[in-house]
Amino acid sequence: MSGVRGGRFLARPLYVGLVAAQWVALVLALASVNVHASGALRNYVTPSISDGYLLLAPFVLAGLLGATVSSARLLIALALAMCLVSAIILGAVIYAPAWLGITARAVSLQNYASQHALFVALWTVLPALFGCAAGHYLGGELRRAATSSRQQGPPAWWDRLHEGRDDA
Amino acid sequence: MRAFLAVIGVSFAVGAAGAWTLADALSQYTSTLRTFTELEIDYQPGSFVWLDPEFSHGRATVVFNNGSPSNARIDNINLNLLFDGEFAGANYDGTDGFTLARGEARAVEVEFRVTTLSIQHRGGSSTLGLSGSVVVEFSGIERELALRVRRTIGPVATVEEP
Repeated sequence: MSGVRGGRFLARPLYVGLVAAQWVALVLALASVNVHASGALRNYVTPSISDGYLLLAPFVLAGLLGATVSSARLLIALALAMCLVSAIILGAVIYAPAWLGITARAVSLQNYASQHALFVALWTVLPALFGCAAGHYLGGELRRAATSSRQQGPPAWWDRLHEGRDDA
Repeated sequence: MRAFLAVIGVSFAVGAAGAWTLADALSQYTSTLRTFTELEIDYQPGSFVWLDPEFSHGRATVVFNNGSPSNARIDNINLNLLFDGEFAGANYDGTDGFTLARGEARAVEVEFRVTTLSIQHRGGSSTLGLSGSVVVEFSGIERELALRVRRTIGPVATVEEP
């Protein structure tokens, strides 16, 4: 981990903000994979990708999340929420033509969209949990580098700014 | 530290690509469905006539209206003729495919042959109807559209004079 030595630590609000933004980014990425791999939208959306990406993508994306989130409980909650929200986005995309007035707001379309969303949510949860476990294990040094205050080297400008205010 | 920021950076890059492809997929999906819903197939009212007094052959005019932004290739017109909702015959001889430019409307004559002999005599008194499907290919769209057709013609006793 070359970035650990001589690195700087992040202030907690910045760390939390970065992880929150990372979660949003990962949700969008997983939602895109869901949409391109879903059987419901095959032939409507190009490129359509294999179902296997519904296993691979949550594993990799949750791994990225696991590398940065230090609390295991929070990590599991965020990984589950990532799967759930991205599946909801898939359902919303399937139902979008009805919202946009292109097709009728039929109950059958609503059921179809919710069934696909539920299926994808369940399908992605398990690889996401494995992925966040792997990422959490491999990313221990990363998190310590980002959050520990016992690092060598000068503090970051935002920390110096806080110190200056405290002194005043 | 650099590795942590690299992971965050990769996540942001993946997220940006995901947002872009998600928006693109939504746009593709909605524009395809919009195209599909803007092709209309209608029976031209009053166009059905019997071609013989035994009600064994009939002819109707079907109007195709392509209001979509793409050219449409009408490939397979499979229409059934119904007597009071009951299958009586179909356009067995088929209708040649044709291309309909965007914004174009075309009236196509479809001939039906009655093959359910047990109800053939009811041809002049039954409420006639059309049911079936038409396969449409739009330029630039991979998926074919199988458009289901179901229209009521009404009672027709008119026989075309030779």
